[in-house]
Amino acid sequence: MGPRFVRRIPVYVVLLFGTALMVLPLLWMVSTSLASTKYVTTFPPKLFPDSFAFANYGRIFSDTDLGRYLFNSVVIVIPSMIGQVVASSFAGYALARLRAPGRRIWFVVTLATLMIPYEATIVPTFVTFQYLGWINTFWPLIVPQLFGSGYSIFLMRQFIMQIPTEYDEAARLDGLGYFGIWRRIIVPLSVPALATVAIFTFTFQWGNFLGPLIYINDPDKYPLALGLYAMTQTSNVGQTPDWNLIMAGGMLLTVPMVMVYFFGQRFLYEGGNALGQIRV
Amino acid sequence: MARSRRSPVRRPWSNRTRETVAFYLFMLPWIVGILALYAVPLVASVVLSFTNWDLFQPPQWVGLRNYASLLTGEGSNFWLALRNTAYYAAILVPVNLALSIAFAMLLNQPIVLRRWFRTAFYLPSTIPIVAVVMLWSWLLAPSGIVNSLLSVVGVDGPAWLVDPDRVKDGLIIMGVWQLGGGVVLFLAALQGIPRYLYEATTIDGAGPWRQFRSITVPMLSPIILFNLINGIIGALQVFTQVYVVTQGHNAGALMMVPFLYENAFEFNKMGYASAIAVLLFVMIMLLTLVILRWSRRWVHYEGEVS
Amino acid sequence: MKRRAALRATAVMVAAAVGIGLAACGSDTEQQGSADQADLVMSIWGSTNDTKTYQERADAYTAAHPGVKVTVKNIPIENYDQQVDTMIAGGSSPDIILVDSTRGPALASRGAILDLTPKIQSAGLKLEDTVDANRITGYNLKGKQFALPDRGGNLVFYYNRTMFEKANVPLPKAGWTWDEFTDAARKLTIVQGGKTTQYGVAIDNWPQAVESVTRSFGGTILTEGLDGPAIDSPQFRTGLQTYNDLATKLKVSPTLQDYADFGQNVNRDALFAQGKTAMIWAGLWDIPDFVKQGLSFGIAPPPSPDPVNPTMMAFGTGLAVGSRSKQQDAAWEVVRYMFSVDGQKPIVANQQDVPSAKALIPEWEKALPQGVSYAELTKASNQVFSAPRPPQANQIAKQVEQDLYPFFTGGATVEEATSTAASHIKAVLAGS
Repeated sequence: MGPRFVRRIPVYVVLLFGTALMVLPLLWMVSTSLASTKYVTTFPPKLFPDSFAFANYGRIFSDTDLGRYLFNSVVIVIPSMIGQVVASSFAGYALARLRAPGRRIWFVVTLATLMIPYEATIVPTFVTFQYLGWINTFWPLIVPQLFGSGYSIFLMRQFIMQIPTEYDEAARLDGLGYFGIWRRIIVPLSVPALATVAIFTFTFQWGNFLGPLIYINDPDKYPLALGLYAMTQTSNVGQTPDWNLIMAGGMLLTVPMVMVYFFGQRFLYEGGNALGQIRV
Repeated sequence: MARSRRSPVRRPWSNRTRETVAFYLFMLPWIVGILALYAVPLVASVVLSFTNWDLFQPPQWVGLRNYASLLTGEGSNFWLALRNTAYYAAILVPVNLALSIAFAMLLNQPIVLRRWFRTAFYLPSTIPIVAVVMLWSWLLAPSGIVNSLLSVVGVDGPAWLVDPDRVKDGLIIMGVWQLGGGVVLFLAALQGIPRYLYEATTIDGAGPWRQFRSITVPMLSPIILFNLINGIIGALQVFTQVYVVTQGHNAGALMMVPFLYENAFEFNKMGYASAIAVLLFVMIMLLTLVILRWSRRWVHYEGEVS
Repeated sequence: MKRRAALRATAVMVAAAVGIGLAACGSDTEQQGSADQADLVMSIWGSTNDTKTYQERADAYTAAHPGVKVTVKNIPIENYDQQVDTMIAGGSSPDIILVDSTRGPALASRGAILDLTPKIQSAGLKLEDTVDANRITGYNLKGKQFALPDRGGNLVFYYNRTMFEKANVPLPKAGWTWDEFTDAARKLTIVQGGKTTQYGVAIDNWPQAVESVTRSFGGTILTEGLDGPAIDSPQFRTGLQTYNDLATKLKVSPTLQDYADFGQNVNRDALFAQGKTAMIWAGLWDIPDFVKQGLSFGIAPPPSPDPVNPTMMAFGTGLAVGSRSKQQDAAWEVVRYMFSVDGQKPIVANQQDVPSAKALIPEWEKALPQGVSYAELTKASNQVFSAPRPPQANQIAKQVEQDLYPFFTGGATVEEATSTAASHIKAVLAGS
């Protein structure tokens, strides 16, 4: 423990305090999910339950519909991720590399879409999906993801612009066309940005609440976030919500997100760094 | 590497045309998306906002009546929703910006277990909002952990999430807890600041505060701008937290999007809801443009460091 | 070049807009299937017991008509209106829709559910033969019968027998006064070390209880003609104030703040189930859950501050046929069957609720769990009232709930809260 460490003690104190604020609520969530009674009413709540009911994690699949909700979420999230990644990478490549009349306009339009809140278009979009007969299907949740989004395209473009153009030139001399360059040069070299887009899409779709709330009516088709919410509402019909199971469901919702971040974080830093060169 | 199977000579188009065609082919999904998900619906929102429509009977043209009753009608909840949303955004966004920068700078120090600390700070922001609310409705309960801690320092904590005057503060606390996304962006940007900039000023005898003012902030300014705009847009669009906490029964947390939602999807007032949507869009656009204009005074791009 | 891109963009936009317009014109309902060959969807809200009971009743119909199958979809009550609307608007209307007196008028006035009057007439059905006449009017809007009564029942008062006996307090009975009630509530409240461990009663801002209690003080939310607010009347204010005084002044009930300490979405029913309160206002549908918790409890009419006023809001549900259902004939036949005495039997067998059929009431009373008697309620049957609703009922209900909320949390006086609500109700009724 050198003097450097001693000088940094205040830093550690602040960070440890911050970490406690960030992590303790989560530990409490884990502990509640392992509680054996559904009435979680002790105050102040205990960080460690008297007994660990690991069976709760089995019960969420046998006694509740959470398994089905989980399946629905996966069905929605996977095509969304693929669609976002491919479409954003296409558009990002075009905007970063290909010269064409109108390119600047399309770039400005892309940035402008960031200013259009999802809610501003929600009524006509809803009406359109309704006429298409898509209410109560996953399509209204998946299809809008297949076109890319302003944010991911912007990120892709920024990242691709950092890739030296010499690679493209070399590939062109090798006889590759534009698609070949995208496929063999741009995609492999922009993995961090692609991963970032995939992670953002996952994060958005996994926790998406408003979309399913509006479009999905059939409880069998609820994704996890909405299904979990519905489980907390049972006291309105004379039942006490099973708080331990709901918290276990909360873990089910949380753990995949944490894992995606944990394995994707090195990409996030690289991908996010591309935003450092923003020039709006 | 496979060589091209086609001979380049056979192509009938000029290089420029080919590049243009390729551009539009690559852009095709996104252009369709812009039209189908943004342009057409936005125009349709504006048109619908001049009608009275319950989804069942044919829409009736009512001119500006929806706007009039939103903005000046007796008993209109628009201003309440706007006030609540503005309060939420005006506190959450600056607090999150300041704390994100502060924590990012601490986490950028050469400390032990750095990776673990970073993960800890990012963790909450990965948690879906439905789970966050479940968690915090316990922590912020009148005799919950937060108030127990406050009572240690002699503060009598309020009934966060229940009291109409405090519920927005409770929602802000949840928002601050999830600041990790901003921390990551700032960390990434901090790592991109060349060391020599700091070394040069150290020789000049500049203290840490001056270094922060004259190097860190300017170098971070593009990300600050990005987070500021994103944060404001996000705060104005807050929905899930409000809905899950109050189901719309607590007027203290009536915000723009929940207000839009209840009119569109609970009361079937599609025209009225479209008018809210249009006003929300105009507000976001104006705010963004004002901030962008203002940012010219303080955002520095690389090579411009003073 | 730029111009060409713009042109193309315009063309695509126009094409898309036309497409939407065309789709809009082609959404007429065409009838499919016949009365004895259909796959029907029935939307309900409620507990798992409710789902089970409705499915049993549907399956009983299927047993007799093998071509007709009914799938029961249970939608959380908080989202029920919105999701049913979405399904109807989205072209996948439920064929049979469970409604109550709040949601029914809104759906009926929008033409989302069918006017059943012609069908009732051509079937020669006399509703009064099966159910009480005051049950029928609850599902009638301007002379159009939009649903058949399904479940009956009304708001009642639950008491925890164990707690009463332990405290040696006489059990609630028909005609007990507000003073007797507050006296009992005081005796049943247990405070230990400054913390209330048992509440005498548990009240909250549940609209049906608020409406019943204020009604027993002579107050109503709307005027009799349903054309204006009456929520700011002295009677309503007195009722509301006296009700909330239980929590804030007498401290025999938890306040909304106190509820938050029991966890998100824990309400009076849950507190009663957990044995934390001696009395609650609630619906009869709670009985099975309380039995499951092993509680010893009874039901009685709520306390009455003034015998001339009713105390118990009629609940119950009705069954409607979606006007955009593609199998209306089959749906109507199922509804007709479920309305019949035979069709209502599972409601009794599963102790789901009170059946609307008069003939089943004795059987229902007999099927009540041990120790739970309906006798006191039968004596007070004149205390039941139904509240007629305007088409804007659900918007008014939500607005009133929002406006009274600050009163329940102590942030507004009863005058302030009810005046705000009154001005909001005026605006809603005026069509904004």
